[in-house]
Amino acid sequence: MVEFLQQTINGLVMGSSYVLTALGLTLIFGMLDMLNFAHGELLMAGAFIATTLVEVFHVSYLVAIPVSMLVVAILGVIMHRLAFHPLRNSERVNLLVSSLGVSIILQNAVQLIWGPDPRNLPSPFTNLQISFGGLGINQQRLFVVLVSILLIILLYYVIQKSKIGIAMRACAFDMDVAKLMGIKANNIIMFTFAIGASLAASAGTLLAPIFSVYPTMGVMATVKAFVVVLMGGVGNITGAIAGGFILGLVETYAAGYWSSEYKDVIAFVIMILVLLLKPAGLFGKQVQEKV
Amino acid sequence: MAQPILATENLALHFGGVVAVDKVSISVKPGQIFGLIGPNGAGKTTMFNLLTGIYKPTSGKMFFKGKDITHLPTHQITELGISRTFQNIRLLKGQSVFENILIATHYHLKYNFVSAFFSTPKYRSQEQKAKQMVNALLEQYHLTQYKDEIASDLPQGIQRKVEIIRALATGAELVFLDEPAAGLNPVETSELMALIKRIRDEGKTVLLIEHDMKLVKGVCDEIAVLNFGQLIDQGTYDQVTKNPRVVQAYLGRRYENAQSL
Amino acid sequence: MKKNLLLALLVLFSIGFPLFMSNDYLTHILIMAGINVILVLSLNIISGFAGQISLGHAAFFGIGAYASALLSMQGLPVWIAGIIAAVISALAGLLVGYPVLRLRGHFFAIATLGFGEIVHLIINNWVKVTRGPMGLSGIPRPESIPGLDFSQKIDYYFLILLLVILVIYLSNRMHKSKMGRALSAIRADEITARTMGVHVAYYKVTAFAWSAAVAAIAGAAYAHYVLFLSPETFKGAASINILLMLLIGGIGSVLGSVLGGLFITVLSEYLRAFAQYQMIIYGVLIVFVVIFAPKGLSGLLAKMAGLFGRWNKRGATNISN
Ligand SMILES: Nc1ncnc2c1ncn2[C@@H]1O[C@H](COP(=O)(O)OP(=O)(O)O)[C@@H](O)[C@H]1O
Ligand SMILES: [Mg+2]
Repeated sequence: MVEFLQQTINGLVMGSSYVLTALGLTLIFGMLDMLNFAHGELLMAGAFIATTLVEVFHVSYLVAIPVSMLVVAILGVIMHRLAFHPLRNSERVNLLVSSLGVSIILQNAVQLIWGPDPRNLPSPFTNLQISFGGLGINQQRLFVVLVSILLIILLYYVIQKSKIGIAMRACAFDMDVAKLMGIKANNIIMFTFAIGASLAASAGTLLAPIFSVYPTMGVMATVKAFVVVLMGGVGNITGAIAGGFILGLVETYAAGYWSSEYKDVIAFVIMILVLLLKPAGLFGKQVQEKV
Repeated sequence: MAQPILATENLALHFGGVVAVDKVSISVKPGQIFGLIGPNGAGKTTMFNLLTGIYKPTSGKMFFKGKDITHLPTHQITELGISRTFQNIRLLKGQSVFENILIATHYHLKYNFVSAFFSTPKYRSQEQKAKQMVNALLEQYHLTQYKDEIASDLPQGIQRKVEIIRALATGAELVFLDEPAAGLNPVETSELMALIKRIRDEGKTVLLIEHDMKLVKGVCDEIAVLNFGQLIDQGTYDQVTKNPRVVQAYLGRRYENAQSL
Repeated sequence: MKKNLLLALLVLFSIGFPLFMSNDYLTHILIMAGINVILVLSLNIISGFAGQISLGHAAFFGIGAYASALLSMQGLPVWIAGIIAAVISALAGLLVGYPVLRLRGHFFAIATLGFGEIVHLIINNWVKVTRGPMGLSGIPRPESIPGLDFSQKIDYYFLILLLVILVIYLSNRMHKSKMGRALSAIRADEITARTMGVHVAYYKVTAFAWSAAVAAIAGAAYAHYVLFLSPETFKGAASINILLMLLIGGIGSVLGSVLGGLFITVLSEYLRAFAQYQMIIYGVLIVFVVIFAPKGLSGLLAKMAGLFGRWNKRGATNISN
């Protein structure tokens, strides 16, 4: 039982980082019909910036998180302006390719600046445990889950209730109609890139004290986030939240009770099953393309 | 009475709550130009999509020359002899007029990959025949001058014509035209009228969706009227336009314009 | 016509110059370039001709390499092992392609990405068979045939050259047949293709199987040349690399595939001296190519030939495709 609870906490940690990464990705996928392969690199950049702030500038971890989110939000917007915006009228596949290029640039730029070796981001919570009966919970893990849930609620609120959020959903649902309704699509897209980037960065800074920080850490993050996006249905925020937690939990249980080598295979098997059985996502309904 | 070339029995399609086609039963005689009219959103295009297997019906059946085609995939329906154009022109992007029409000969080519690999005489003669056929069609319908132009860069009138010729090039006996006069000027429209008649006179059957009532009046032998997915009348132009239900549905609030029909 | 002449010259040059300038290092680069060219051509079948972007192509490269290596290590002649490996890979392509190719849009791309990761994880973790991260060694060279002894680099080079020419021929025949036209139509618009009588699912799956088989041949050629396989070679980054070579060369174009494979192999060799900057330059190049030259090197070449043609007062000649 204790073991199971421990695994559940770990699953929620992974799950919340998946959700934070997938949210931006699913919005962009919905809006631009674009697979952004550089999204995970934003998570990585967030982790590196926070690490540098803490280690070199001796900023507190709690301050480093929002600062790195802000910096990465700007990075996300720059990336969009330079590499994606010029391709707004070209074939969709070109956007995908351009994002691959950006991903390579970011990975290697970081490697050039910080070197390839894994680092650690020290957090005040890393070595603290809270215990409930026989269950010892690492405080950093608890912190990750709590902050993520807070951020997710915040984003959910913004998207469901605020004016800009409604515009975002309109763009993700149907860009052409949204434009006809007078929504300034360009600004919305830019705003979405900023939000998505900062959420990915938050995932990076939250996980960094638990796992290590290295230049290629974003690759798997991107791939897992795609799995979550598909599980939830493209452009579906609620779906991405549910999908992220489901994936985090399933993976962690599988690693704990079955095989840690093959735990990554599970994500892909889930993904392929979802694609085949529920191509509109676990919660979506298949729509017929209009001819 | 001759067997209908096309018939539907209580054909229906629901999109969630929207009933796009509601238990429609029609029957089309061979050699006719059969008009399918009705206000926007009546379900005309959806009928075409059902009949060509692009959408699958919620219920009901469809028959081509007596054969049940309800569950056939699109490419098999094409092979049987039904072809179509699209309301929103769908020419192959970046491909020339010639290439756009050549694709229609696809299922007539019976060689396999091995003969293509070794460029056998069978492969070469079939390829040559297909290309000659396309060239002949281009010549016959006065499109030769556009042969090598990128089809989607041409004026809309030409594009519509290329789409019609492409449908003919499949060798179809039954041709569906979805609003072929949309975006055409009066001169082009009267050329189109001649073209449609010519297709019929070559022995083919035409199913025509059209809003231009002059065109409908000018060419259609029989007309079916849809409204909110339902068939509300079928008959000659004079019959259906006298039916008050049709006038009411078709013109909606612009009832006073009925006189101009 | 001009294009055929160009091709003939290229072939003559490829045969001729190693005989005069034999240099093991250069020959090695050319062999690797040839293997990459075959890989790019194989990806071009599904992603170029049929327009279905695959992000897991290294999986088939890996399946071919490991299958051929393992079979030949069981005593099968290398030539037979290579062919069986291609068949196994084609079957894997059918198995994955049949369900997944029905999906629209980017879903095929994502599914192939997942497939590539699965294959990589299996190669990495199925230690009993593949020896996992330790790598597979003791792979035999192809048995020599009269006139060619494959322990000589130059002889292996000729084998690769032959394979490249064969795959170019295959691609061209495919492109000019009804299959090629069906694939072009699918790439442009599936609904129209269907309406024109094209069995879309059949052609997509067939193209995918061909693509997988040819990639496996590149894998076998690699395995029996390098004689050592490591899972690292077949990870996701390799798939991306193959796709990028295709895009830089010119997606959909056979000439472009060849140029892309050659150019990137040679470029990365050259940039090796600037190892630190190599990948960044590469990334920047990719972004530049998609923004400024979306048709790749072959597109640029066609444009130049067009200009040249006009300059020659012959009017613009269309040599693209
Ligand atoms: N793929 C689809 N998904 C949902 N609704 C559709 C789809 N295709 C058509 N419809 C709906 O079906 C109805 C009939 O449309 P359509 O057949 O295009 O009308 P018409 O061609 O007569 O103008 C409309 O309400 C339309 O919105
Ligand atoms: Mg319509």
